[in-house]
Amino acid sequence: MSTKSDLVIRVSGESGEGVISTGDLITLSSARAGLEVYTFSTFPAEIKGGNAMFEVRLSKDKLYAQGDKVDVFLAFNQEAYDKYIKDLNPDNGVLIYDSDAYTPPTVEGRIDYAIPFTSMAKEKVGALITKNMVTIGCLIGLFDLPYESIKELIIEKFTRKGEKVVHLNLKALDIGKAYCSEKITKVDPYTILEGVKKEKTIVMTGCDAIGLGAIAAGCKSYYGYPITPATDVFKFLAKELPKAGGVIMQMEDEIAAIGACVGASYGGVKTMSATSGPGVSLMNEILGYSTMAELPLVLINVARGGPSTGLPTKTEQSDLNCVIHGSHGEGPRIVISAATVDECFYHTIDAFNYAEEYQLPVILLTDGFTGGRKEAFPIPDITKIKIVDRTRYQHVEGEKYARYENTKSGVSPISIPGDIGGRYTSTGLEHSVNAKPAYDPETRKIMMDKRYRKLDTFLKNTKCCDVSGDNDAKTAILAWGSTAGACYEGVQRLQADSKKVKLIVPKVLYPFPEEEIGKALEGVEKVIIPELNFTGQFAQMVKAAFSNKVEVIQYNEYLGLPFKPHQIVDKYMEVSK
Amino acid sequence: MSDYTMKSYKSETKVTWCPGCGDFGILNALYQSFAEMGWDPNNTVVVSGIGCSSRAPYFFDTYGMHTLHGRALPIATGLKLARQDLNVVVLGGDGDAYSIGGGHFLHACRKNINLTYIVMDNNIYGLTKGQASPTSRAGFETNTTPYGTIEKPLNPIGLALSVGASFVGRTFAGKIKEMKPMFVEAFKHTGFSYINVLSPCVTFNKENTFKFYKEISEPLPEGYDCKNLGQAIVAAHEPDTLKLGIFYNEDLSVTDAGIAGQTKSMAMAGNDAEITKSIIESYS
Repeated sequence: MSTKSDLVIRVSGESGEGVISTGDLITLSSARAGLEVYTFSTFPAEIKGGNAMFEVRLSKDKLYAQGDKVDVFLAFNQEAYDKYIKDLNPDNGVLIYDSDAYTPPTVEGRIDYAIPFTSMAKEKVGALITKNMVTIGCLIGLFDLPYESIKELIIEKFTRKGEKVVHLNLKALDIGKAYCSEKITKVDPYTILEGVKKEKTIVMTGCDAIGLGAIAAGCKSYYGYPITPATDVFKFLAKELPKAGGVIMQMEDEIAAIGACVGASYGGVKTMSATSGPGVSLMNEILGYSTMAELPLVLINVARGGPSTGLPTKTEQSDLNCVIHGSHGEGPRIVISAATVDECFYHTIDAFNYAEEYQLPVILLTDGFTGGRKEAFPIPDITKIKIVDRTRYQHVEGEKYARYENTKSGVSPISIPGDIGGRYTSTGLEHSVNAKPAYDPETRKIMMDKRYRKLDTFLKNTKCCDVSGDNDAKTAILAWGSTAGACYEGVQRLQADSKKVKLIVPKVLYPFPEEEIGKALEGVEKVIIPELNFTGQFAQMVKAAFSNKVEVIQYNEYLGLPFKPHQIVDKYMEVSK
Repeated sequence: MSDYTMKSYKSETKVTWCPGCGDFGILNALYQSFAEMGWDPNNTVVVSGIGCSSRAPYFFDTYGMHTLHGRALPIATGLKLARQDLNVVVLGGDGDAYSIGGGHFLHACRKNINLTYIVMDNNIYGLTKGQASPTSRAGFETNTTPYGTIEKPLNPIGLALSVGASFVGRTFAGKIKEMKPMFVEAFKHTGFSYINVLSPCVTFNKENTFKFYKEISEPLPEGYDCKNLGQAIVAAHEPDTLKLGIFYNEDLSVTDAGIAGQTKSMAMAGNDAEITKSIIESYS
């Protein structure tokens, strides 16, 4: 029946009406049925009320981005309709509305299904609270969502609330399903193809995947302060870290949170905090200390729109300069990004490994979009994950410990309290190899060079970029973090249309991987750099390094929303004319 | 008695304080009290912020952290929670503790982590060469307040008591014999212990001198009950005199022991990889 390889369903209504739980249930059941899922949701910054929206894209094939247009839009009320109807595919888009709540105008080319969700839940099921189950039932009836898998999930979810509740929800599901199968004449072209049963997957948000990655990396302490949209990392670890024998504490502010991390790190314990832009601003001084005292730690920035309080519940890529250069003075850090939910998991582990290996702060820069959306990814094989621990000082009787020994790699063996012969005072002052305050020019030069040399060593040891697409393309797209997803799909479409294009995705943002990017840009005449910020923060670095070799075309959006694949395709077409 | 002596904790680094500074006496009392506790220098960490007194970690041959202005307490908190086997002592001055670090001080008292905080209070900023501090008296004239400060001084003892500190004491750098036993009491206390030590700055504060403190201070009265919070708050706010002694000493629930217990009771069996695997499986 359907010729579409994927389906985008959006649900919107009053916050607290079950919009998000409806979406979650569809997402998880579809993933279990072997479908690829990609979600996007917005919720109001207000505590209660306001409009909530959940979108899920389902497909048999790997998904890299949210879709361009919504295929099926389920609008519970007039406000939801008014707000989002513009995003519905004008060509055969389906509007499903609660006919008990409002009546939308008829529009040519649009398929409308009027369904009395409210009265069905109230009268036929006997409980208004089951409206979301009636809704899901209707979607099963209309689009063949995986019925068995949804039923299983409902049983799992409600069993602890008792058999009665399970029964009520299943009843609601069946009433919705039967209504749509019997009373609605299906005229739309959409249906979900059966999923491909494959290896078991894990379905979670980017923030949860970060927390899980921290545990896998051996993190044993987390100190945090609540901030949207990073609190989800904290919530995950508050629940799970004690199970792994780690400590967790909510501190009085972000300064204290990152301070506590520095303390734990001095104690030899792997440590992390997660925050968003305003928190990073506060943490910057102590991040400088972590650099100067060479104490490893991991900071996660789930970025939102700035400056100041900015757009707390929206997404942006405008913190790049801040996380690279935020502290006063010049202090080397490593900044990496994550483009997908599974990268949130694996790159968090990398962040810990880099921090331990090079004894400096590592910042994983992701954003509200990736942090908040759910994706399915294969269950990680822990036995295949490499875990790095800091190189510890081995004391030899009679030897005087030089904490900041000037080594070739820049990395000096570190002691931790309890180690015999390793006593030293960590310091934020410039210091000698023996960790004593020293301000003379010779020492200053040795120490600055040593700290920055660690970044050279890191670049030599690390693969920093993913390069894909056509090797002989004259036009390239370079994207980092969450923007990479829309570019993957954009590139796929361009290639399907026989266009030549190369895609460069740097995972390491700082130190700037000049050599790798330079190699990838060989033969390229124009490089498009889409970024969710005003000034093109990564593009500026590319310009500084390569403006004499390649034309750098910035493509900046700062609306608080992620890029869509068609925008990337359109930009390519405009540029390569 | 332990095998450790004062010398066991003394580093070779030359002490850089001005001759006559009150902090010397405090430093010596600290060496002595560490020895009395029998603390292994390898398991002891001295943490400080920024200021004259915050230079102290360099003068100890233990582990140490000379950190950032005002941030010693959260850093020490993170260290102690992650490494509950260590003896953690935090040192600093009045500007570090009550001005830039004021917010952290409140929460360290509340959190009741098992560490000791000793503030060397000289009522002035010494390292920046003589500006008013939160404990300087109203009207105090300095180079940044040439016409006198307008604020009333902060009452650190009253503050600590009101935000839930479980051990609160005040002593005076001029009372060499009284400092050591109070430090030892603080180290033995389970929970957050806090002592404000009046420590004259001989270079930049010509008002709050050894003589001044000697005259204005007096011990807490005989029969004083250090378990009585109400009485402690009254004593902390006594006009015209500064009481010396342990104002309050009550074993309240200890956060890090609580956290340790919780972690222990929640920790799953197996090595890290096995635990990670089972957490991952619970999400699939």
